[in-house]
Amino acid sequence: MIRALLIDDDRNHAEGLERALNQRGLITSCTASILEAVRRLQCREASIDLVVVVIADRWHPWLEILHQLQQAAWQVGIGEFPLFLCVSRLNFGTQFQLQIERMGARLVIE
Amino acid sequence: MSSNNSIAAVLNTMDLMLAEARHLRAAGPDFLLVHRFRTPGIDYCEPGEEVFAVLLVQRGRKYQLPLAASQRLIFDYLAHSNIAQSSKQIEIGIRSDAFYQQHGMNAKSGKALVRQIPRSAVREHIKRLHRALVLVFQDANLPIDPRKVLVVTETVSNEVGYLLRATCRWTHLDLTAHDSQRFWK
Repeated sequence: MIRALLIDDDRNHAEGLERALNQRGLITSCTASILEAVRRLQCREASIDLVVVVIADRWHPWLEILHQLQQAAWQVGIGEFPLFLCVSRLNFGTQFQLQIERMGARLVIE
Repeated sequence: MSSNNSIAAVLNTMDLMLAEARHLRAAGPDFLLVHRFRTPGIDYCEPGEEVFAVLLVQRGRKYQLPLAASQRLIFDYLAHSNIAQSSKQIEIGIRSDAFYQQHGMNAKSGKALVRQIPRSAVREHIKRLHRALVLVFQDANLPIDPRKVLVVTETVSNEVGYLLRATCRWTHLDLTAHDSQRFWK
């Protein structure tokens, strides 16, 4: 069973996405807070296979946030590392998408 | 984009990522082993070549594993086998193979690149290989456990075996090939 962590601070949007993920058979937990997401990724017991980061504004440093989340997952130690999917509600352009890809994540623009 | 379409796009990308991860776990990651000092015209691995580098290939990018010569030899040796081998078997296998006993000697370097790998050192080299895999998987953000790539298998006694679960390919740089220059820097 695939466990997903959805990071989205828009409750309505999160509910729609969570429902779609659950319909695909994923066990999804949701948080609006980056710090809480970091805490959950650092938790050894709660194994997470997929992290979905919803990018909803232009003022957060999203690349830094993604790096921070990836570091949190790695700090758990040697083991499986979750996949990172960024869902952007804004178009940041090709360069941004390229940077996301270079970090090993994928980007979908809604 | 409408809400339904945007969710479909997210799910399609998610499916692609999960399929990629499943393939990675089933076939293992892709490694490219670079041998240099090949005699021009030879189309197989011959004694005298050097195991120059081990590269992880991920989404078209190459990441070099930070390995010393002994670890590159063990990696190369395990990459040729799909059977788990004990420390003793690895030691004997490397000692009895002319490729490793004449390692790098095509470069007229004498035995400078030859490594003897005693059984007692194999375990430590495996630890360092695991460490190198951790570093390179982090660098490539590859979602896979290094212990599932370089696997330590148990036996019915207290001996353990080592098995590399990966897709390995080899490439050769000739002694005098102009196109090999970029690797020499």
